[in-house]
Amino acid sequence: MKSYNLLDEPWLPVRYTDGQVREIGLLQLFADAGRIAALAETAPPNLIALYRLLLAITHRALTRQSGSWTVKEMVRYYREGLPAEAIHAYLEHWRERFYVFHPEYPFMQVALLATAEETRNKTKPWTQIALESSNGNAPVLFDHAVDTQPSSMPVSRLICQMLGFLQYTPGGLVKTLRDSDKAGALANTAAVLPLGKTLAQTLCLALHPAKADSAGDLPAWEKAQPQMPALRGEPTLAAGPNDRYTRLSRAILLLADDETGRTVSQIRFAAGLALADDEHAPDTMASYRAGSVGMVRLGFSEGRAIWRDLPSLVPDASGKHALPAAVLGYANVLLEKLGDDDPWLNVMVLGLASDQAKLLRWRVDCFELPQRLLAQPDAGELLRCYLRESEELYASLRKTASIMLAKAMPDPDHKDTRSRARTLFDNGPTAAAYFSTLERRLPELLEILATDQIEQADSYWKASRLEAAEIGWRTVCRQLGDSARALRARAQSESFYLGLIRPLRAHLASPSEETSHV
Amino acid sequence: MSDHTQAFIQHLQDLQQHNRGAMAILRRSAGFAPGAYPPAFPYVERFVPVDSHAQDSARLALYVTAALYARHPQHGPAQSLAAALGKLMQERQSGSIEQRFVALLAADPEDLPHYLRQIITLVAADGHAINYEALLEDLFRYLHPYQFEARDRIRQRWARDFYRQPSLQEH
Repeated sequence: MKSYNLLDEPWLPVRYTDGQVREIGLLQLFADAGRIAALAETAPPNLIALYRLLLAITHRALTRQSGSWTVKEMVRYYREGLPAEAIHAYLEHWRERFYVFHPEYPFMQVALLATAEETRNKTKPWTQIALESSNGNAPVLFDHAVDTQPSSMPVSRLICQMLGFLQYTPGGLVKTLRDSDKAGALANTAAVLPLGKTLAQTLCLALHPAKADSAGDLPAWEKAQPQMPALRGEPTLAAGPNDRYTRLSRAILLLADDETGRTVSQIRFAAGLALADDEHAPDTMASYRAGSVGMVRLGFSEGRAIWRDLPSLVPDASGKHALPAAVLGYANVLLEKLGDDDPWLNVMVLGLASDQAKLLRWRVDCFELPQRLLAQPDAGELLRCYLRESEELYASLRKTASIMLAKAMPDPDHKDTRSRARTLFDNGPTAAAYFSTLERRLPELLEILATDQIEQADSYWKASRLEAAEIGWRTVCRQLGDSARALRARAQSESFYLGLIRPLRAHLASPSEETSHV
Repeated sequence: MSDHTQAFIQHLQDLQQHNRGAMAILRRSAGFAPGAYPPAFPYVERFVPVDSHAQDSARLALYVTAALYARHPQHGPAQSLAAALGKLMQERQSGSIEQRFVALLAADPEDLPHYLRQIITLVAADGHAINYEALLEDLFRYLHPYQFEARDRIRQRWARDFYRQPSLQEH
């Protein structure tokens, strides 16, 4: 039975530039790419997976049409729209592979699972491949799916979830074909995607360039169906972005509920084509920052908004502090060729964080970055320096404040009291108060940096840090309370705090810069 | 400082110079609830605002200050009571003074006169002058039953004054 072709069936949620939100098929999506503002998928893992799917299709279609292309051609596509005929021709060429229920080539699935001895008699509920659903022994708050009573899910939705799952599945036990399996390409990553005004522009900005040696870099649907040795085999390196974007990190086979093939409640599931990590070829959408041992991939952590890691997204000439996502480099090359039409670039950072196999949180964050930051390492260095200063001030504030909190407790000099005070501080509202104040002021800092007014940026950021410190200190003092012990602790620690902000205050006292402090 | 405050402290200073009997009466008034010892009325009541009732914070503050002044009649604008006490703790290296001060900070308005009296005795022993005008103004607000925020601000200021000297030396 061949049914549900993704080229024609409506399954991709998109938002048109006039605000209308619809679900459409792939053919229509590329035909309308110039009139579509963005994809309208709401779950971050699925959203980035869909973009990656579209990028792989665009890349392969352009390769098929002309073998290679230059930045100049990309500029033309950016201004005039993607070559819809070439992409349509490509999609039509591979039409057979875009059937969700195809006996030999089900889209992004493994047909072998229907016949393999290990899986042919085993099914799992569809919730297995929906990151936000509870299944097995991994319950999710607010989701009450029960494995023994699977509901049925429209195929259009399930395909989006399957794509997100393949990219973001955490590594761990699988117990079918192999004991455990590697994580998906983007597991635990805050992926970066430059955004244009339309979907076509976004695809142009984020498209990985054509390389002579990328002939072997094929998306899943162009490859032969995976066989048992490959599924059981060792992890393999990605051949390139197309491979990463569409890697079958788990073997899945959707089972249609009935002949019409509109809904699915059961699937077959097994270990997939594991992806080996190659530190010399990081994911094009992953950014890295310097950690205590080597570079750390940028992810989402609790209580830390992604803007604090903004320096990881701007180029670092020394290569020691940051390794921005390659995709921002592609966008920068294109924007430089475009000239000064639009000196600002919208960047979306999104993803899912997990701890082992436990999914913790997902996020979408959007920034407007001045293109100058991407193009000039010295401007990026300046931003890095400013944000480092605010982190350092926070660290000192945290130290002073936790000593103060300890002083308000019995036996203040004991190390347990100190550590209890630190925990109290970390769980309190001060970090949020401090960083949200700075976050509000960040856009203006970026604007000042974009226009290269370095002195103004300096005084502006000092004033911002002072304001944030004042709010942070007031917050921790409220947390401290007003008992006699608290008052004593506050009186004793205040001089340290005043010492911390003295350099910022001294700066404000000079009359010429007073106006910048509000 | 308001004129009213200055006038009252000036009045107490005059009494101290010319009317030792009055000072004795005011000293004795400390043994009673503020404003409840009739012999002290002639020296204080004329400064009580006309529209205030018996337990008004303005009235109580005047009686408390008068009793404290009578016990330690050395007014000097340079130093607040808390600062004087902080200095005293440093000079004597005495932990009990800090405990008394912490007790003072934790005191309810109705208990405050009691703690203040103990503290003023300590300060008097070492002859530190105290700014009574500032103390009176603080008491106006501290003894008010509903001005919680003002009370907190005063307590914070007292704590800062008290600990400023030692903490500056520590660092």
